[in-house]
Amino acid sequence: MNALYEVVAFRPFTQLPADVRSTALQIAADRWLILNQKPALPADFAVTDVSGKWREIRLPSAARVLANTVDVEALLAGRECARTALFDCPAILVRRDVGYAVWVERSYEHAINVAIQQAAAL
Amino acid sequence: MTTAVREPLTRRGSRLTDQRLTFTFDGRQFVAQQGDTAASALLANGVQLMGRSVKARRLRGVLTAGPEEPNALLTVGAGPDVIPNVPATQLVLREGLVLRSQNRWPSLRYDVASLLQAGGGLFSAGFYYKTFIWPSWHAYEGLIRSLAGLGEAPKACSLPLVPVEHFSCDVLVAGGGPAGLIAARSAARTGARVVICEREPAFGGELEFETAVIEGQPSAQWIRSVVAELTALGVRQLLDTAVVGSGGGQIIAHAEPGGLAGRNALYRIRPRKFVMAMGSTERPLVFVDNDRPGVMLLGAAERYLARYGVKVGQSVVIFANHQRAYAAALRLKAAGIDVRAVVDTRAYPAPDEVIQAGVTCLTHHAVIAATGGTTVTGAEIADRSGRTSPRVIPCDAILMSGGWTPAMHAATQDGGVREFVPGIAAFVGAEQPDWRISAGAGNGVFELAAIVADATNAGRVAGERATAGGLASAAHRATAGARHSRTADNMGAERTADGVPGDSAATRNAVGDPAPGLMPFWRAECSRSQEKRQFVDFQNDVSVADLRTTVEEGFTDIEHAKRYTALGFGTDQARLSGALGAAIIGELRGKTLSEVGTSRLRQPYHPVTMRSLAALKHGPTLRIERHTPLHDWHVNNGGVMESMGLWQRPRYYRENGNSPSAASIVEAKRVRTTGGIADASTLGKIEISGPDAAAFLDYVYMTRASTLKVGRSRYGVNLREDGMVLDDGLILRIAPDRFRVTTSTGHAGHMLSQFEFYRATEWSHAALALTDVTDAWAVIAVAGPASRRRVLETVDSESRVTINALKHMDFCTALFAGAELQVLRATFSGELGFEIHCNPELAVPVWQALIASGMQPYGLEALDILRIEKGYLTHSELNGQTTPFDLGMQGLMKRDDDFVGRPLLQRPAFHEQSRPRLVGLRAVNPGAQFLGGAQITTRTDLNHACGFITSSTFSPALNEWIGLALVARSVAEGEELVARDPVRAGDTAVRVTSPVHYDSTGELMRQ
Repeated sequence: MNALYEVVAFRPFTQLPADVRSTALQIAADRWLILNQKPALPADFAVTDVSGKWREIRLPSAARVLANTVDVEALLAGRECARTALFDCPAILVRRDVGYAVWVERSYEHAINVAIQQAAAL
Repeated sequence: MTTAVREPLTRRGSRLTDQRLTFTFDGRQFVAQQGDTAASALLANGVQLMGRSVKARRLRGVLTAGPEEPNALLTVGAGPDVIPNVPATQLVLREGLVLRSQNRWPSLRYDVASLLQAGGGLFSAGFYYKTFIWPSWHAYEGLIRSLAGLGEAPKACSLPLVPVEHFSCDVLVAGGGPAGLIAARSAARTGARVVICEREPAFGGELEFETAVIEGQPSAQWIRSVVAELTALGVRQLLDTAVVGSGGGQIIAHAEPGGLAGRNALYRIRPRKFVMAMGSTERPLVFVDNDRPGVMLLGAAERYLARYGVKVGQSVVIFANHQRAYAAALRLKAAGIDVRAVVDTRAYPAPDEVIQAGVTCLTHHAVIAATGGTTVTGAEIADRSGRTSPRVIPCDAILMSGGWTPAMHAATQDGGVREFVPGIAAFVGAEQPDWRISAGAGNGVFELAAIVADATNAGRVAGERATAGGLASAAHRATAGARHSRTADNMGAERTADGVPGDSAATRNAVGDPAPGLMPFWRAECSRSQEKRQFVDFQNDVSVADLRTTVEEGFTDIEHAKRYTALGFGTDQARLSGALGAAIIGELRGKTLSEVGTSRLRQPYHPVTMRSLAALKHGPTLRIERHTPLHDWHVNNGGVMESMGLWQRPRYYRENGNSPSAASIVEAKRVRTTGGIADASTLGKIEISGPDAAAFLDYVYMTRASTLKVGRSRYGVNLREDGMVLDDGLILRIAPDRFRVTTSTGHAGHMLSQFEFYRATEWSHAALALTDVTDAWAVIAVAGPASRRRVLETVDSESRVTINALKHMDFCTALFAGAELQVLRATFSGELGFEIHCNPELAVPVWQALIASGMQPYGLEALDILRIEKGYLTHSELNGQTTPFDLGMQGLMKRDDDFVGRPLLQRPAFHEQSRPRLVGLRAVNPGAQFLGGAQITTRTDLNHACGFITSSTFSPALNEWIGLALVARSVAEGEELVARDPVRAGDTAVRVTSPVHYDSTGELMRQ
């Protein structure tokens, strides 16, 4: 089980410390996901263990499959990840060096897999 | 049954190869060439009759060569998965296709329903308000419904799913005619990423038949060179792809290769700039029997000749109101067609070269009728000045052209407005959003040189603005707006606002058909009795007589007239009939077309197959499901699942009975006697953390959270601002500054939104954070007398002392196989009970360990029995119309602090005797049944309800039916009432009791 933490800043425009920021995925204003290690953060932030919440989906022929549900280029313009809905499922899309990673809320894992299989078969 | 195949001569056309194929139409087999459409092949085989109209069932031939075809709609296939309403003009033939005509029985030539209209007028405008009334509409309903509709709905669908592609580009160009090609090239030359969509399988538009030279090249060569440059510039080219709609910053394009569903695709495109170069639609002219097979649009005849080598007639009469008819006449004559006459409604002299070519030119004349039987045999011509008597010119086709309606469906969406251009007697898109530009014929520009200038400028502006980044400036808006400044009679003198007439070299080098020089003409004069044979909308049989009726009956507004007559309702979406019908309504009302306007144009701009609209949304992707971590276990172990919103939850388990009621009684009994486990993972869960978390919860809950000790939990109730109960759940204090709350399954999203709303508004400066952890925690409810023992057996030994010491509503951290989980002592069944909250990865092992310890699962039906026995509430009672006072919750309410909903709880109306209160119900006769939803009345007044039953069940613990109800406060406990349920259970005498039917002291759960 990978540990996963959701970090929320109590006040707007609060910056994550630089060492944490480099490994954090920003998923909303003042909200980040941090993988593997519980971050040591000042009192300006709340850290919640959400290890069981997200599942990583690996996509075959990612660009073509994702194009069925979202304009990836527009979604990730100027950023590396985005909280969005993929095939109607709440998800986080992350740009990787090669392709993309998709994190989906666990209860939607089956639904998104079905949709991905359908899209990949087209 | 098929007949012998006639082998025609090989035709030459821009879209044909020599390869032969066969197809059948209404049971007859025909030969076609590869590239033929159904319409071109049928015409080449001498078939003119291709369909019947919807209402009047008149025989019809093909009118157009494009997607706007109103008559020749075919059904493809022979099985239950037929595809109806395929335009013969778009359907590219493939070997073995089975085609049928529509709207006829038993055959196309002999149709029984056409007898209904033998006298005409039965289905005139507004007929449904005037006829089929006596003795009752229902006497005719079956017949009318069987006749209504286009084609035959398929009984099955074997079409594959349709892929969708979302993508962005700098400039999207819709239309691949000369304007579209030039605009795309011009935009691409600025460095913009350009996409061009063309609905036809080839680029070129009217250049496919127009005699033109552009940039020193004949049109066909020029098209090839531009397409080659587009390819070199990286322009994405989507052929067979029509732009069909827009919205939310997206342009929707639909590909249907070959004009037949099967390899469709849907594109959702986000362009920074959108160039609309979708050309125009040629308009029919109105004269008596203008729907007779053999009457066709002039441009269609030219297309059939150029693309497919089909001569639509051997001897034709051309009827038009513009100069281009003469150029067309010369081309048709050069192809060997006998052009018997060009009938020009204008009083201008005909060009010398046409007269010298031997074509009779009748200026200031009009065709007043098409003569013949099932097909045209002649055109009746009249001098518009009345100096000579009408005469008939024998011919086998009448080719008409009443000018062109610019394609402006897209230009009227998303805030675009239109304006009337007198010179072309048509509307064009005027002021547009700054991301959209019209070009070419779609912009009201019809002369090739002007099109080149207009499109060059549009493409350049779009490209430059798109690549400059950001939105276009006000200067660009001015450009778009002023693009339409033009003189009334010179539609070719198009200039851009910035004074740049485009690529001047290209302008000089573009020579095509002359400027149209159109003079508006809509219909030939005729007697009133003949007006019902002057067709305006071919598909819906809307005639001039119908429009006259509409005007006379007061439906003068164009939108009313459209709906009263069905004008423009058809698959062409008013492209053929919109301006024509509006102009004739104007004539009947003494108004101009400009004053009448045309009806609002809607999406989709072209018909789209329903399968394409659904795209991937089919079956499980249409209605997606949320699964708990235990879902597969439930399914594999006899769980019968049911939906709660998107969630799937086990209703009952088959091993306990074959019906929900039988199984749930077994399961509920077992919980009360020994114990059971249930999957409660669907409960909403939110973590609230931060120094201000406790104060925040005190505000959003009616109950107090701040006094909770760490490791304790409490029942909490939320109100709406109007004082009504919104939801309930548990509040767990995990740390001094951290809480986890549970919500009902159905309200999880709503509660998170509610909390976030207050977090973002009244609590925006507070130090607190909200995190949805619904999916982060699996929850297993363990209930029953044996629950403590089973939980202790399941967890690691070092956790047992702690768990054993838990008091009601305590929780602690425990270990299972070395992994942490949380054990909460709480119950929703009224028995001794625990909830195990764990990482979803642990859910199945923990569940299986509990099963191994002797516990068995129970489903939602059993849970419902258990909670009704205890008087616990669900959405049936928390229905958005009940206050805390109604539900007996006033004891839970904080006394002093402010909280959401508190101010309005003081409303006097909330304290009146007529307000409901929650009570229990039992049948007076212990064996009697009563059901949820039944109305409650007093025994003396059976006609006025004093309440209703919210929940009911057979209680295995009490061996009788019990229920919960909301009844007026004036009703006292012990009073006998009547549960009235005339449809299901009938009347049942019931007695009001306490809502807690079982273990009223709560002793069992505190053991």
